[in-house]
Amino acid sequence: MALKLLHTADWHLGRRFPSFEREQETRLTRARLEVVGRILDVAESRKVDAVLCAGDLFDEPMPQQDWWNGVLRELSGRRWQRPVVLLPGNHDPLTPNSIYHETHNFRRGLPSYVHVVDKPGWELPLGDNAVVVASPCTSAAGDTKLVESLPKREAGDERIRIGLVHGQTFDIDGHQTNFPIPRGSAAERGLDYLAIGDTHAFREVEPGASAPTVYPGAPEATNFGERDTGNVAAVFFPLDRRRAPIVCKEAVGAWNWREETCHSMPELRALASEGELAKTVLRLKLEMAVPMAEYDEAERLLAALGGSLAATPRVGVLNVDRQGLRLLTEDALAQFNADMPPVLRAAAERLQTLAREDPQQKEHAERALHHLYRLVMRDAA
Amino acid sequence: MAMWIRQLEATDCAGIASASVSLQPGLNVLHGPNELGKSTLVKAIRATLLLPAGSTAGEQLRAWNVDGAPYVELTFEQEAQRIWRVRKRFGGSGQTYLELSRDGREFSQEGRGRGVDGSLQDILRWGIQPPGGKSGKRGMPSSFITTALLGDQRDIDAILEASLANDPNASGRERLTVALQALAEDPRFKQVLASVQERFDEAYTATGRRRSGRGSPWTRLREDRNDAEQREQETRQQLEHTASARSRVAELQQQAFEADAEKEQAADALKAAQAAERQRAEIAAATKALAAAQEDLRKAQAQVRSRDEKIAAVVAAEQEAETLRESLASAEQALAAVQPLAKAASERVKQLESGDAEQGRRLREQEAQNQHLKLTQRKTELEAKVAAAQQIAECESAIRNTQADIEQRTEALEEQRRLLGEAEAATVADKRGIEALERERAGARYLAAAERAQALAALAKTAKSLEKRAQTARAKAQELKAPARAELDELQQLDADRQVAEGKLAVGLAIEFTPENAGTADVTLDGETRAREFNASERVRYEARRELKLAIDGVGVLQVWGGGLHLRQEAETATDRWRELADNLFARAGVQTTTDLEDKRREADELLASADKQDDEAKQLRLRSGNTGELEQQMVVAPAEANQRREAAAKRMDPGVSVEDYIEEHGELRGDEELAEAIEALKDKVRQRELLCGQLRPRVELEAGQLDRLQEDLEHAQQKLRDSTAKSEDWHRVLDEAKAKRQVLDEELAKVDAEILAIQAEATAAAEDARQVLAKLRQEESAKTKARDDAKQLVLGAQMASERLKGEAETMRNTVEGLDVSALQTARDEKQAFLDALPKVDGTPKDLAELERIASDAANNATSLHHELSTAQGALGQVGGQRIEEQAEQAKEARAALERREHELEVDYGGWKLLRETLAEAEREDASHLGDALVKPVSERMAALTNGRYGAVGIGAQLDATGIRLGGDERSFDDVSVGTREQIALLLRLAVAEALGSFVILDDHLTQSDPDRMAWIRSLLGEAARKIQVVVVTCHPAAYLVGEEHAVDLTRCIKRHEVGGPQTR
Repeated sequence: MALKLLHTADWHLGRRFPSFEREQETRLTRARLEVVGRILDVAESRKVDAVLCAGDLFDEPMPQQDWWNGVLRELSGRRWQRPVVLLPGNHDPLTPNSIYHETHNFRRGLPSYVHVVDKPGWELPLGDNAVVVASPCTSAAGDTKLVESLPKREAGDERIRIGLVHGQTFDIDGHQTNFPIPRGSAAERGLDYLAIGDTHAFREVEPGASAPTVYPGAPEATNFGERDTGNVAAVFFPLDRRRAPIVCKEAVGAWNWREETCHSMPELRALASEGELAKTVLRLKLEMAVPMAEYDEAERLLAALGGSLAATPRVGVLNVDRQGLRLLTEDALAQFNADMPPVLRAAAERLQTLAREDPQQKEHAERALHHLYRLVMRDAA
Repeated sequence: MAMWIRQLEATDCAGIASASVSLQPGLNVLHGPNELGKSTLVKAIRATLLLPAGSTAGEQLRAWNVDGAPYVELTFEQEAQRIWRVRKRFGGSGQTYLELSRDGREFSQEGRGRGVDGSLQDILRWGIQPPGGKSGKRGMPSSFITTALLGDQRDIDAILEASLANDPNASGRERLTVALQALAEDPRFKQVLASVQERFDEAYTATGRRRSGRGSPWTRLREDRNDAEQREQETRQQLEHTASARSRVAELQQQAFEADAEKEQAADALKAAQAAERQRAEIAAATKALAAAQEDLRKAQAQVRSRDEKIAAVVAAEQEAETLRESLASAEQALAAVQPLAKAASERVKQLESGDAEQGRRLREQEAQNQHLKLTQRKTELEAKVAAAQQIAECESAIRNTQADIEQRTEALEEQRRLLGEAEAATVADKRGIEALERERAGARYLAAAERAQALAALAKTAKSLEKRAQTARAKAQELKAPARAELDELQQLDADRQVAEGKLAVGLAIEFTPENAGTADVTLDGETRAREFNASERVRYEARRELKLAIDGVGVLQVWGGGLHLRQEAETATDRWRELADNLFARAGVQTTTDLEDKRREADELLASADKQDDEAKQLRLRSGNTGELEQQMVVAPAEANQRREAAAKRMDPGVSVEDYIEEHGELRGDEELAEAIEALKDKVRQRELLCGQLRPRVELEAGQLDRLQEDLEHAQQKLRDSTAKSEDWHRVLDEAKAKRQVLDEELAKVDAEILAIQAEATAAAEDARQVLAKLRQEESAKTKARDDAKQLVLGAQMASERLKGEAETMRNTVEGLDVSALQTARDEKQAFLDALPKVDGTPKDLAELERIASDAANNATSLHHELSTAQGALGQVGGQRIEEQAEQAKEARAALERREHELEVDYGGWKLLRETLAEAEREDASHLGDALVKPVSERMAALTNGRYGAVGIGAQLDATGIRLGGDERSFDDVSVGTREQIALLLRLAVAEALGSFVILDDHLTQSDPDRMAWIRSLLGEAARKIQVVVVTCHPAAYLVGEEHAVDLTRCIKRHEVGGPQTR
């Protein structure tokens, strides 16, 4: 091989997940830093010549110290000389106050082999045979074509040329495109490989091109619905320069984001009996009407999946939407113990009537019925 | 534990001077002899709990022989750690205090005055109407519960007839309802209810409102939701800013696009007009050049034609001269043929006339002949002079022609030179104009850069000033060392806790001290110490609110704290906690009071708010510079750029003129683009002129060369003329006189010839004949001579004409030789072709100045819009971006998730709440007959007491006892013995007290019971006392004292007033 690279992007360190509960949010936020270590492990095991980080490594230009300290810790722990190139993206643009500014403690604390792209047309030779050319984002939004600030290949320059920018390759009417990257830019700038970041899915923008343009995607997903996340790109440049670089997708992400809707108890039971869910972020929606016993079972299964003070959750992060879970109240009374004290039975009857006849109190009445059921059944047990 | 009475203190109540009774939970037997004041103590309890201090009914407590108002302190425990103390001084306006303690030692005041009775009824909920209502009955208030718990046992009827229906308000009924329901509850129901209540209590207060404390599930959710809403609002605002900025950018892009189109359109229109103008100028110039070329060609062709005509004339003249020369030769031949004949004839005549006359005649003839020769000679000389004069005239004419030609050419050359000069001068002037414009442009660029630098500097200065002010404000705020808001809140909370804790200590203390011997003591009341002297046996009293200390010399120190040790410790802890934080904050802030701290915090907040505002303003200013972070950089770049531009401008200035002088002198300078266009326009003009000059210059040089050659020819001809003129007479006179002289000479010759003929006529006949022959021959010779002379003259004239024509032709040839007619034709054709090739310009000339103004306005507008667009794009780069959109989406999702969680929580706890309410309703419905709950305990005990003789006691829905079943029959109470009624009343009272979990006071009862029943009752009281406090006040202690009870010998607790007349204190 003439050259080996590891290309990653969109770490989004310090990203918040406010739609989750605090503990869950903390777990997900931490996961973003944990994956950095795995990315560097891949670089080490693949013995790459350089690591290129194509922007949005932090979720904001001035993240909390915990996050940049974490990155410093990960980077400083490596006894490396292989260059690591950090590129400011649109989430963490290079501004006078950003962590990439030369006065910031993060920048000052970086090991000598870590380089920050801090000007347009930035260059870093990789030995005598290769060079990285890059341009940073200097604002959160813009229509500048950063790729056009990369120097073109000069006549007689036979080196492997790798471009590194952050931006969007798509252009849809009505959609605000930030830092657009026109198709064919790699060839136009005389590059052998264009390493880009922004999109969270792994994607080779122009499949089959002699100079690939690649999004490695986010190493950990940031939301439900994101596809093909959790990877980095390992890029190999053959000695035969006529051959295009080989791009391999390497999995590094630990977390799996899933959305499930259960319409019946068998579906819920099947989900609850699945094996390893500890690294799953599960958004579970219940859409079913069940009798009291199954309603109670559903609650117990949810409790097992989500954990409690006394039990470790089976799902790493569980988010349940149970508004669609309804209780069939018609025969609710029949499911209570027959020897239940009359006053309790009277209360149950009242609740059943409310659930049946008062639409405004239906939901509360169903829940109250279930509470009563559990108390009575617990006492009975 | 149920409610129980802990302590009773009384002063000046009826016969009691003072009393202090400590009670305990369980059975208390207060015993003492009659007239000790036992009933007074019970009355005091009733009055304290039920009677307003100012009520006239309190008079029953007043000692008839004491002035002091009756004073009672009653301490009772409502539930664990909830101990109340009621202090009342009856009579007059009365004094009432209500105090609360957790440990029974340290009390805090909860109320005083009239409100205390209302509070007390809220605590007890005995069915007593709080004071203040108009419908209240006078006297001691009573209700079903007060009758049961505090009633006079001797008034059996009152007890048996008591009914909830007679209660002044519903609180007693409600309390009993709850209590009796609880009594009737199924244990499983109780368990369920307890669990439900536990879950209910997690989320709701007793009144059903959502809990707001730290442990409340709503609190954290509310905090989260507030956070989420705030975050959403913030991100929404940022999005709105972004959308606004983006919309502004889009709007400006559209405007800039339109402005660019307008600018291009205006520029195109201007360019088209300028091009048309240039084309018109080019056509005009080409037309003029063509006309000049045509004129040149015409002149050259005319000169060529003139030369050719001259040459033809020369040829004709030479031909004519040749003809004339031939005629002359013929004439000379004819003369030569005649002259020998004439000579022979003359010889003959001479021979014939050799006589004297003949000689005389011949002499005369010779003389005439001589005269004829002279005249002929003179005529020949005359003709030579005329010929020379004519030659000079012709030379002069040629010179004049040449001079005219030179003049004409000089004039044309001068015109061309003038045109060239003008073009060159205009070019020089335009170049100077370009230099001036370049100078102005450099000045304007410098000025713009300097103004930008100044503006940036001003912005930066303002921003820095604002930031410095903000920094100063923050430093000031820091210097204030004001406590953080949370610290202040904590301090205030601690202060409140401390005050509450200290308030609990202020329970009111009173001691009475009667020394046996006189002495001194230091008396400390609530921290204030005074030395006092005591007389022997003199009773003294001291009152304090919280703390009372007597240091009696020689005796010891007695120290009393209000509220007990626990409350005191609590107060000290609260004080220590407050002090610890307060000392820390006071020391840090250098103040002494909480108010000062608050002032400092307020001042710091104001400073910080001001700093934030100034920072915001600074940020806005930086934003106006285009990029928040680049202002400083721009501030460095802008002056450097201004400097560079100044240096560039300085190089363009005239010597000795500085850029600033220039700017001051020229006032307002035009814009860069306007100047650039003006410069370009001038350069275009210069280029056109240089093209014209390039065409004119070779023509001028060619013409000048031709003119020089003509001048040389002229000078040559003039020299020749001068030479000719110098050699000859005045040729004008010669020519003018030639004709007359020629005529005179011809006339003289004719005379001489006539004279010769006359003389010759005088000869002899032979001679005459000879003479005639001779004369004929002479005549013929003369004719021939004349013909020859004429021919000669004609030849000479022809030769002169030919020479003149040759001269002229030579001159013309020389002139024409310098002319390249073909080149002129080519030039003319080129001009014509150039003119033909020029595009035709349609339409009328436009107002270029107006078009220039429109184009300039459009360009300025476009530049301004691009500048605005650049600024807006810079602003968008700062506020916008995917990150904000993602954050907005996250905030929206977060709020939606919290709403789901809140809904779920609301449904879950709402379910608990509804279940609790439903259970309560079901329970109420299940146990609406209150009396049923009492029937069982009372009846069972009655049956046990009477060995089954008596059955169930009838108790109505209003808890009114209706009768008792005896032998299967329902009997009225009137039908049973007093003792039985008394025992039924006791059982009812115990049942009610047990149901309520309250103390019950039994004053001198069961006087009608036999010893067996008394023993059973004593046992029953012991059993009941395991759940409730039973206070028996009796003068027969033996009936109750078995060793398990708390016995109080009232003789040791009650001090009665001395009997012997009124006492004052």
